[in-house]
Amino acid sequence: MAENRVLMNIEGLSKRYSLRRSLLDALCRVPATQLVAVDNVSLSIERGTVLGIVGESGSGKTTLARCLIRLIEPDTGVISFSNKRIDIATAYELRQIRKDIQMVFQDPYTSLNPRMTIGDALTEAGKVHDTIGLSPENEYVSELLKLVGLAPSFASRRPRQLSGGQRQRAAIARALAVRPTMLIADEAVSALDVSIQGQILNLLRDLREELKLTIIFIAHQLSVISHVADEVAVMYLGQIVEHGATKDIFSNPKHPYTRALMAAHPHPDPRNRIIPEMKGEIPSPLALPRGCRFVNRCPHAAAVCSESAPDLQTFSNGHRVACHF
Amino acid sequence: MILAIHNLCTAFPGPNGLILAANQVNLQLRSGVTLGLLGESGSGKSITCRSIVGLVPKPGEILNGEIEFEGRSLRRLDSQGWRKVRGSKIGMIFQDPMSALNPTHKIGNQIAEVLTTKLGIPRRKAVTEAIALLTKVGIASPSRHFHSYPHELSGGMRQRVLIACAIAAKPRLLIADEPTTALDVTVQAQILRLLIDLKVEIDMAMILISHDFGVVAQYCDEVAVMYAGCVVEYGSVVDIFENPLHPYTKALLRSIPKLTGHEDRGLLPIKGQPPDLGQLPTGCPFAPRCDRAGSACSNVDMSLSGANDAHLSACPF
Repeated sequence: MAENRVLMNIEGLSKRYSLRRSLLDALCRVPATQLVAVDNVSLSIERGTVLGIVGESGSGKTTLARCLIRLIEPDTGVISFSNKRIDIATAYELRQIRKDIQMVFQDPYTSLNPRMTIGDALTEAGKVHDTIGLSPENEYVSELLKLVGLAPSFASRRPRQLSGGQRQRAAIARALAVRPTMLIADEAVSALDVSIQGQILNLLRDLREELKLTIIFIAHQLSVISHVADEVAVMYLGQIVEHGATKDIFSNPKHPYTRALMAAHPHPDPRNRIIPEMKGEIPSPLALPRGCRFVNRCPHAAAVCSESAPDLQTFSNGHRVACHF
Repeated sequence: MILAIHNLCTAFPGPNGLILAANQVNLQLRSGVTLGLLGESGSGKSITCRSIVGLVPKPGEILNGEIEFEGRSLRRLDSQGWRKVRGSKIGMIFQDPMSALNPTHKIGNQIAEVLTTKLGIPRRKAVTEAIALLTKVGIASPSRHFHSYPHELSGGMRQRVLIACAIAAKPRLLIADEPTTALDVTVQAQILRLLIDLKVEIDMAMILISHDFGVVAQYCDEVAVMYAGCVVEYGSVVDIFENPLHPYTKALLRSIPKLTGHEDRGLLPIKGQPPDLGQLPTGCPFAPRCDRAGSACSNVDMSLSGANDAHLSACPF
C-alpha cells in the first residue's frame, strides 16, 4: 500500500469517560469508574474509498467518528490526515482540517438551522471557509443544489418546508459547500423511509465518483453498508472485532459477532426464515466481561475466551479479525 | 373471523379540509394468523390500528366504516365497554416501551395490575403469576426483576416487560406497532421470535405493524401493504414477496438494500417524494411516482380486486 494513497490513518485511538464519584468515594480516593467508549482503534482509509462502520447501539461508532475531527477530544491515539496530525492540531489548524472533513448527521432537521433558508445555510458555509470565491451567491447555491439533485428554487425554502429526504439532500449540499475531500456520514439514511433511503445511497455513490470523495459511512444496518462500502469495520463495545474488504466480510465473515449480526438480519424472503443464534444483549460498557468482550453472547465461547482478550490478527488479504479461533 | 374492518375512514382536520389518514381500509383476520401491516411513515398503519382499539388521537375521528371483533361492533362501545376489550381481549405493544410503562412503578406490579383489574385475580396470586409471565418472556432472575423500575432495564428487556403486560390477560388479538424499530437487530430477532412463539401458545391473532420488509417477510403470514392511507395490496406473505401485483409493492421490493448489495451496487429507489396527505391527486395516490402511470390512473377508486380472493391489488392495470 503506497503511503500517499492513505488519506487518513488512525492508530491506537481511545476515548474513556470517568463517571462522577460520590463525595464519599472521592474522599476515600476510590478511583472513578471508567466507561470505555472507544478502545484502541487502528484503521487506515485510502483515498476515494468508502469505509463502512457497523455495530449495534453503544458500540462506539459515533464516538469514534466524532473523535476523528475532535468534536470529542480523544484521550490517546494518533490521527493523521494527508500528512497532517489531527490529534495535536492547534485550533487554527483544526479549522483548516475541518474544511476538508465534513459530517452528515442522522437527523437533518436538527442539524440545519430552522430559521435559515437553505440558500443562506449554503452561502454561510461557503463564506466561513471562503470557498465561495468570486462567483455570485445564487450561482454558487444553485450549483450545489444541482449536485445533490434539488431544484434551484429550494434555495429560498426553510428546512420545515422540505421532506425528510430533501432535508438530507440539503444537509449533504451544505457539507459539500466547503469542497471537502472526506465526508463522515453518521447514520445518514437511518431515519429515512426505504423508498428514499435508496435515493440518498445512490446520491452518495454518484458524488463519490464525481468529486472523488472519501467517505466514512456509519450505519447499524448491514444491508445498507453492503451497498455502499468498499471496506467494512465491525465494532463491538468500542473495539473493532473484524475489518476487511466488503466482499470478504459478507461472503466469509470470520468473527462470531459478525456472523450473529448477519444471522439476525431479517431477509425480505419469506421462504428463508432466520433462526437467531445469539442470546442476550450488548453488555453495559461499565461492566465489561473479562477477556473477550463478546464472550457471554458468543455461541463458540471456550475457557480461553474469558481469560485473555484476543488481538486483531491480520490475514493475507488484509482481513483483520479479533477472535481466538 | 376474529376481526373484520369494512371501509374504515379515519380523518384529521387539515388546513384545506379533512385529511384522510386511513382511507377505505378493508381488512380481515383469522385466529392464529399474523397480519403484517407494511408501509412507510404516514401511510396509515398506526392510525388503522388505533382506530381498531378506539384510540385515535384528537382531533382525529373515525368518519365511517365498521369494525367487527369476534362478531361484535367495536364502534358503538362506550368507555365502560372499551375497558372490557382493551388489555383483556385486545393487547397492544408500542414502539417505545419507556413511554408505555409507568416510570414510577415497579415492573412486576404493572404486570400484576393487569391481572387484578382485567381478570379479577387476587393480588397475591397475581404476583406469582406476574413472575411466571416474566419468566415466559425471557427475563432472567424474574423474582428479582419484579422489583425493578423501567429505567433500570435495557430497551430489549423493557419491550419484554411490555409484551408480558400485553399477553397477561391472554388476549384474542395482539396489536404490535413497530415493536422492535428502536432495538438492535440481534435483539429484534429475539423479541419477534418470542412474539411468534407466544402467538402460537396463546392461540391469538396478531397484527404486526412494520416499515421493514425483512421483518414482515420473516414473521408474518399475511400482508397488507399501505400507501397514503389506502391498502394497495393484500395477500399471503409468499404472494406479496414473490408475485407482487401493485406497482408500489414491486418498486419497494426493488429499492430495499440487501446483504448481497456488494455484488451489484445498483439500488432502484422509488422516484419522487413521499405523498403529502393534504394534497393527494385524485385517483391513485401513487400515480405521481409510478413508472407505469397513465391518464386512466386519476379514475382509479382504490378498491381491491384480484383473480383470486387471497391476493388483491388496488391497481387495475
